[in-house]
Amino acid sequence: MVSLKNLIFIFTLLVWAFMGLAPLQAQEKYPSRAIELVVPYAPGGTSDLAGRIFAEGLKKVLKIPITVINKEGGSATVAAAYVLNARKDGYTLLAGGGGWLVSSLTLQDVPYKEPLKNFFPISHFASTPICLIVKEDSPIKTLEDLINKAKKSPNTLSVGHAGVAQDGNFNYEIFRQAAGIETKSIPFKGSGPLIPGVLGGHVDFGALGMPVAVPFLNAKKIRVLAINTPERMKKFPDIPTFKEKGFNEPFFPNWQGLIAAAGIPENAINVLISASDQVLKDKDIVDKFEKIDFEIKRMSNAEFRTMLENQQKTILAIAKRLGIL
Amino acid sequence: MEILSSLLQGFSVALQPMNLFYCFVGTFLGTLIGVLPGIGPVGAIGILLPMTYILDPIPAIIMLAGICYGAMYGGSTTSILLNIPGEASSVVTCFDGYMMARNGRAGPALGISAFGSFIAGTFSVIGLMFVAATLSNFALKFGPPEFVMLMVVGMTVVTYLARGSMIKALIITVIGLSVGCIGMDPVVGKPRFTFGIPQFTDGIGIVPVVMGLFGIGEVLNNIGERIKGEVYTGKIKGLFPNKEDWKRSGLPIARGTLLGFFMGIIPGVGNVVPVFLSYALEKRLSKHPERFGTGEIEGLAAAEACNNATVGGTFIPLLSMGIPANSVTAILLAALMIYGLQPGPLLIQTSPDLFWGVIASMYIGNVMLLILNLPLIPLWVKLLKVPYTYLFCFILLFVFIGVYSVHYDVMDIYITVFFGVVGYFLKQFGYEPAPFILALILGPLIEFDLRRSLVLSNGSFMIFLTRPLSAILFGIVVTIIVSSLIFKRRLGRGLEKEE
Repeated sequence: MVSLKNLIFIFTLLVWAFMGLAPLQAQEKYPSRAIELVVPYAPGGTSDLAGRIFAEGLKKVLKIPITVINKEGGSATVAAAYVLNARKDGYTLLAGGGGWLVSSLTLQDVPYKEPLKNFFPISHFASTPICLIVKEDSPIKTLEDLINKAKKSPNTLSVGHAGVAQDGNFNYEIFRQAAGIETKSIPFKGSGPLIPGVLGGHVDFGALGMPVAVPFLNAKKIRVLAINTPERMKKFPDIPTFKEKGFNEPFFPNWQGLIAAAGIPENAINVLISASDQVLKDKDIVDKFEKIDFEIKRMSNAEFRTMLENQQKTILAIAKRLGIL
Repeated sequence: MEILSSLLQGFSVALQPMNLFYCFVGTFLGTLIGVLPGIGPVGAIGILLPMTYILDPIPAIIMLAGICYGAMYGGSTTSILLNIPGEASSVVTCFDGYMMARNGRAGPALGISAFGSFIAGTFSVIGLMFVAATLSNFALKFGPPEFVMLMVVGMTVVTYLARGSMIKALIITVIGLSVGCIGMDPVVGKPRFTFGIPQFTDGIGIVPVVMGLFGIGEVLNNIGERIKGEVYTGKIKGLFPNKEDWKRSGLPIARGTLLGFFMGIIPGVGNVVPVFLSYALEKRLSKHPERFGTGEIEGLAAAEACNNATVGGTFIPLLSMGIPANSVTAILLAALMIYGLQPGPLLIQTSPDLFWGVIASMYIGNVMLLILNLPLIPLWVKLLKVPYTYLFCFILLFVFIGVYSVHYDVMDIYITVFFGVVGYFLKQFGYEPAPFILALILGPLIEFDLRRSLVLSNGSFMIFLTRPLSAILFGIVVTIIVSSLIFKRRLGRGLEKEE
């Protein structure tokens, strides 16, 4: 006689057996279970917000759960290494961005050699300009003021940025070199702490991503001198670009994209590329990105890859100049 | 009067049944998270954030804020009962709290930390209401040179943490400073002493070190002393603080609250330095400084009050300026952005319901926490009756789960085990682990700000004296060092005479 206890036992075994089979079936149809999206920064930053918004859109399109996990550390390279070491089945993806590319290329201890070969960039989803800000009552009113002042007395103005190997610092270096000025470089621990540094007058101006600056711009506590995208922002049409001011340099805005480890199945790549495209057509998702001052930019996979290859060249050149490499 | 009517408006928001419910959920979850070592409010809010998207912004923020200050209440429990600080700021709670528990006074220890937390929490909410705008402008005056001096004030605390030999305390401090050098050079951006391990680029994590040195170290020590049988004496004297406890804790709670509140307002200070400072302050003012670390209720009361007041303080730059003072408020800031509220200097004007509603909910939440925590005390105390043979298995389990849940990284578990063994040997050879923790936290901060200050001043050390605030802090450092040299002698002589 089979007791109830034994029945439950057998039933449990069966359930386990089927759960064990699930990954095998997954190879036929992608995706058939939850995808893990790894955000390489602590919860709360703009990269985390962007990653989470994209995950929400992806969930709607693919109709499977997307688990967002934050794996901060090593300027995004710890998360990248984790994605690289996971099973190459397309169920562990990275929400990468400009910061990830910079640190992958410049940190010495990165456990992978060539980010664009070790990883497969899938899609670009949004970007936001890097901007130069000053305190509202600063005597520096325009980018020209800044350049003139810095030329008159070199090495007196101080610039704050979110860290040496960060995209804000790199973009500022591109500008500084082109303008031919010398300034004192003061790193902060992220763009959050940089704001009080500028508001308190501890640095003369700061270079950081737009989303962090916007609330203080709206409250008229700071002014934005210029942004590094080729065109002006829809939301802030009064803010000039570096390009208009005569700096047509290879600036790179703070972009966010979906990155996979190289070597994941072909069909998974195709599914993810077309799903990303659909996500970026979703009005609700676009609104959410715009609310945190990211602008959606759809690109083909080839365009995305070309953009990254160009950025890689720029980053390596600046890193050598800064003495990081 | 304007504030009162705004506050009334806030209460009318916070007392709506739905908001009241989420306030309770937040404080309850916060207590749970605080009790579990390792998983702190940062991780918990990070996990819960996506689930709150379906809520309206006000109940969601009320709940998340509840988790923040609720975790501070719960955080003391494991420190007092088992010597496991969930985070660096609870280390100070271990000093006297755990010793009180070992002396059979776990109940009063838990009680005074619950009441101290309540008083401090309520005070900092009141402070938040009245002085928010004024003080957050003042806090902006803290730049790199001021931070250097503030952290140097923090370092002088090492002298108060030394219980036995001062030489040993200094040795362990230097080791702490050295370990603090591991990680990316903050100014040049090159990794130092990382041995090619990517996890080390950000430095050695504080949570694994703290849990290893204290939690695991204590377990190893207790196993070593197992011959005695029960670790805790069977006698449990009283469940709640008595009259004398209250008399002794009153002033320390008040001082801890004020110190924590004002230091919490300065973005970037964190809650470790204020708590260590408040402990040192009590030891300095005490007539029996030599008894600190053996179960003095003053040290515990001040540390706990300070810890909670800091949380209230950190809400000031968050709500009035949109500046996150630490990683917890950084997540709350992100939450505000997700809900489409513009955090920043305009928040109080654009969303008065949210601003005042959250403040009112913090009053209510503090009362809820007290009601929630007091009945739990007898239950926690009973936990100590579990034979240690069983208890330590669970301690290890919870410590490892907790450490792992911070970054989901096995490396953190290795670090915990390593520092557990270190903690065991430190205790065997009579070294205190506390100065190590303080040095590990302050070292990198001092280095970062010292180097930034010198870049700003083109290499001149005069920057520390020409800026008024920094000069005042420098004066405090000199006073502390000189006075401790003079007073220590006098205090010592006085004691000899008494005896």
